[in-house]
Amino acid sequence: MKRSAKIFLGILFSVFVISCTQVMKVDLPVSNDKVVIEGYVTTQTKPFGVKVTKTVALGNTTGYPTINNALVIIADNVGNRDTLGLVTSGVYLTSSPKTGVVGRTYYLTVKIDGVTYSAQDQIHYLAPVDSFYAVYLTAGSGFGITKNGYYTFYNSTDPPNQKNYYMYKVYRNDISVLGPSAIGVFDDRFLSPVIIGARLPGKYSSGDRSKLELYSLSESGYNFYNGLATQLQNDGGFFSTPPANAPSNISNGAIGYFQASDVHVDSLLIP
Amino acid sequence: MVFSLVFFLGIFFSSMAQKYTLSGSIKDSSNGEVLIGASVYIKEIKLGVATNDYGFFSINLPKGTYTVVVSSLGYNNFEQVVELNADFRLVVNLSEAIISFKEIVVNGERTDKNVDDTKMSNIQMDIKQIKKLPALFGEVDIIKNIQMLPGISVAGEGNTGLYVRGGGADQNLILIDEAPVYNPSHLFGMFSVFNSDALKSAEIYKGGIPAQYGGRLSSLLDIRTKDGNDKKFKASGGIGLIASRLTLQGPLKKDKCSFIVSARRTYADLILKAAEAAKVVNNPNIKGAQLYFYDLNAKINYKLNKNNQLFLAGYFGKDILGAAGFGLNWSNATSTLRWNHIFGSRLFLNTTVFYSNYNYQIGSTSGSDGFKWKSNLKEVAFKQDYSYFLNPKNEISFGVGVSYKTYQPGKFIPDKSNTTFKEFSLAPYHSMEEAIYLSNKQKLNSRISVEYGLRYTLFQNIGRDTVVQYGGAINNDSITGSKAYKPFQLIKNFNGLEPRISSRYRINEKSSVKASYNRTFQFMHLLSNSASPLPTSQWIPSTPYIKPQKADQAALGYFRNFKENEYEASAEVYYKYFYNALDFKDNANIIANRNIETEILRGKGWAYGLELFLRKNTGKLTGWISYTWSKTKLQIPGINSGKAYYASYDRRNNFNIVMSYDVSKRWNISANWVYGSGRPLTIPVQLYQFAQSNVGYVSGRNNYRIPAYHRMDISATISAKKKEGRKNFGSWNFSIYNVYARKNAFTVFVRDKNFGTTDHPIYKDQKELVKLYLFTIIPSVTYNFNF
Repeated sequence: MKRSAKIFLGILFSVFVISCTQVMKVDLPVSNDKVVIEGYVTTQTKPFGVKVTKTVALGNTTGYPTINNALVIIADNVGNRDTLGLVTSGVYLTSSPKTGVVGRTYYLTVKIDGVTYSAQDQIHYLAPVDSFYAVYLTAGSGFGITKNGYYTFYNSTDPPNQKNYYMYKVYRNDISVLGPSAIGVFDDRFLSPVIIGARLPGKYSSGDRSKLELYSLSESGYNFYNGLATQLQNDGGFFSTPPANAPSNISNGAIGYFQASDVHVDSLLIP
Repeated sequence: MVFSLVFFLGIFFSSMAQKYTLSGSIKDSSNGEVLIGASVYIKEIKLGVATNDYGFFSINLPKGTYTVVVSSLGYNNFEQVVELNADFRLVVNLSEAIISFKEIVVNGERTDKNVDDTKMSNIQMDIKQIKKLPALFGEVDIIKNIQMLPGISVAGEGNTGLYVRGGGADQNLILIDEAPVYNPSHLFGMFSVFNSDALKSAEIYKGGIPAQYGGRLSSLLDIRTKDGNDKKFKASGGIGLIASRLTLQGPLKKDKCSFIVSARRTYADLILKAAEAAKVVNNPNIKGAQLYFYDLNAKINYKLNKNNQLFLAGYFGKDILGAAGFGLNWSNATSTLRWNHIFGSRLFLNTTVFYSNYNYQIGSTSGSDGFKWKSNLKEVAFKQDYSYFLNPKNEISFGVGVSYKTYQPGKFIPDKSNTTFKEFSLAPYHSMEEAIYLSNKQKLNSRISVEYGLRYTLFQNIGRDTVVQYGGAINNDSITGSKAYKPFQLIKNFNGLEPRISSRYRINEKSSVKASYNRTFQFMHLLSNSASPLPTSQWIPSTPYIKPQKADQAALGYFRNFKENEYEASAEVYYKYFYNALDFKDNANIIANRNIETEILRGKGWAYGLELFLRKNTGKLTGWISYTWSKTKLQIPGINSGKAYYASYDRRNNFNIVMSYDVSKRWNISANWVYGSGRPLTIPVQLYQFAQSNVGYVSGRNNYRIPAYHRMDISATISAKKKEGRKNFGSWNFSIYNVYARKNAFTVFVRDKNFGTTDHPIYKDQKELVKLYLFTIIPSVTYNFNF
């Protein structure tokens, strides 16, 4: 093909499908800093943890300030109560490993300079992952796959007659596949009671290690993470919903979430 | 009801003194197309009437000799003396006005419709003129020209959504040959579904909506397609950068029956394939991508005799997008059967039966997660519209309509090989709508004319359905049970009484003052949570938990013509109030949610503005200048902490200038410049860290405005020399979109710094604000031909 025709087609095509971005400088509305709380109780045996930080103005490059003088307590509905100790900046852990119990409700209390923030969440049952496996797929073989490689799948069940909410985290060689701008959260609206071959994100090569963490969520947990996911994926555009704050379960105007989850962890080595 | 009304009118009119009727139709002499809104003026009584949507007029006069002057925009005037001593049927063929380039243009009698008509907040587009104007990718689009009129706002670059006087994109009743089009957009709104080759007329009402039409709050866009040349066979078309068009029309039986078929198809996908073959594009994500749309308009009309005419029209258009195993397609189909009947010579009846279907489908190719998601909206309707030409001073319109709609929110169908998902279907909604209206256009005296009418609508949400019951607040936790309804069983009734009035006070020959008020109801709602509706946005009816929306609008205007009607000018102010305005909760879950009422919030809205308009329709130079100052606010408890906020299409200042100049018989140059203040949008103002993510904290709805938008386009059209005896001729149109290549912000958003690069930081707490722009400078060329 003639070079000029190539150039013409190239221009034509770029005009049609490509839009461009440009970094802008703008004056933003001012708003006050907020307390941010991130807390976890899971059925994995390890210390319960809570991180307490503050928001920063957009464009600030000094990092997130931590709060190191908080009193952090996690209790449950059968009378257990632990005070968490500060281990590094803003991070509070129980002194010994703990195991969350399915069905129990957990209560978080964080006191900062005389202000109390509280939250609660219940651990919902998570059906076990029956198998976690990798399959080599070629581009164009369905699943929206455009590159040859190994892809991971899992089989499980979705308990019927109740609403189930899920979150997954997938790691390739201990690095998050989704990255910081996506959250793997879903409900069972479209799920079959017997799940065979649910595909997980990420493409692997031989020798890679894949790790799957599957979490159960409460409805409020789903709403929070779904809100987070929506906002992180929001291009602010014309066809997107207006960015909104992820609905927190923490009282008194703090943002963030206190999550209680049943967890299944599985990993595999790509052949 | 109709019959008793006719009976009543019959008695009323028969009691009047004996007069004769002058009636008939006005046509284009070259192709037999009837002319809508042509003026028929009787010199002796200094009164006139306009032809209706089917080119028919009627005027009742005492015995005598009258001079009839017929005029229509873009045509030479016609004058005839009529001796009226019996009912008289007149068929006038107007010839197209051709500008002489040798001498000074003198065009004696131009219509003073702008000043004289009771209609305000209303603009009729000149379809011929828009074909000469610059167009994006060379694709002429009536909607994009309408967007340059005062009072009509554009939400985003290249988007065909209409935001009329503070109304949303879902508040426009868009009709093609009387049938509503539920999603008038192609390629996510880049183009409208209206192929300009098939169109005869387009008229937009921003206010003063006639009582004949209802169902949407903010505007009526009445589009009518050509009837087809009933004199000779014609082929015309065009080849453009992204699409080609072909129109065939001709008589099936001369002067009796004619047809028109018009088709358009884009070929971006073919360009893509060629680009892949030539290896100028090598992106696996778009390899084998499908990206095209097509439109097909067809119409047959048959004149049974002088009192009866039948029209059968259809529109079908589809968009197909697909890449890497995923696909989205959507289509509109409408069909209309109309019967025009003239009772005697003064009562004109149009009976319409129409069907409209909008559907979309999302799909993923086979695999353990292959599926299809299907949704549609279907409407079948019947209506009768009567116009009674009582006398030169009164023209009465009345009619009835019935419509049945089925709204299928979605069916989820996993592929056979799908082992991850289950099949399920959301129950469809159903509604019936019955409407009746009566209005009169009355000339009280030489100064005052009034058009007043009343429309009544009964809207019924009906079965079959299972309606969820809530105990108290409407949310998922308060569901107490559900109630089943049989097919056609009434679930809930809604009433709407809509007064419509517009009036004109003529100050003098050149100027008038007009005022109008109208109330409108909207019984169906588009579930769209973004600034622009998506092809996947679902229409739903009013239900026991979702009330109809209502709007009141008042407008006042001053109209003046200059230089013997060569220039038309107007200044209008309006105020509009919205009741039961809908919006969604933050983080609303609107996908595949049948209990959608749990996600909807209700409030109020108000809009006001000033619109200035100057238009020149005749001569070598034509075009318009428009300026709008407007404000639109919404206040919905639960959004923005209950405080009022600007609508996402609120733009303070809009300025448009459109100019077209015929340099010679063969050359035309045109240009336009548009300016719009930035629209508001929501951006996070603070950041926090959660898990691995940097998350934004939003301080309020629409807390930021993107920079102002402006752009200039130019075009030149050159036609082949018209020679005696030469039948075919073509023309070239060269357009440049965004001449000075301004990078207009389409949107502004926050993203991770170094987004998309290999060292994308995971724990770095940095985000940046970026603007996205779509087009800089775009040249295009289109060849049009006629045989």
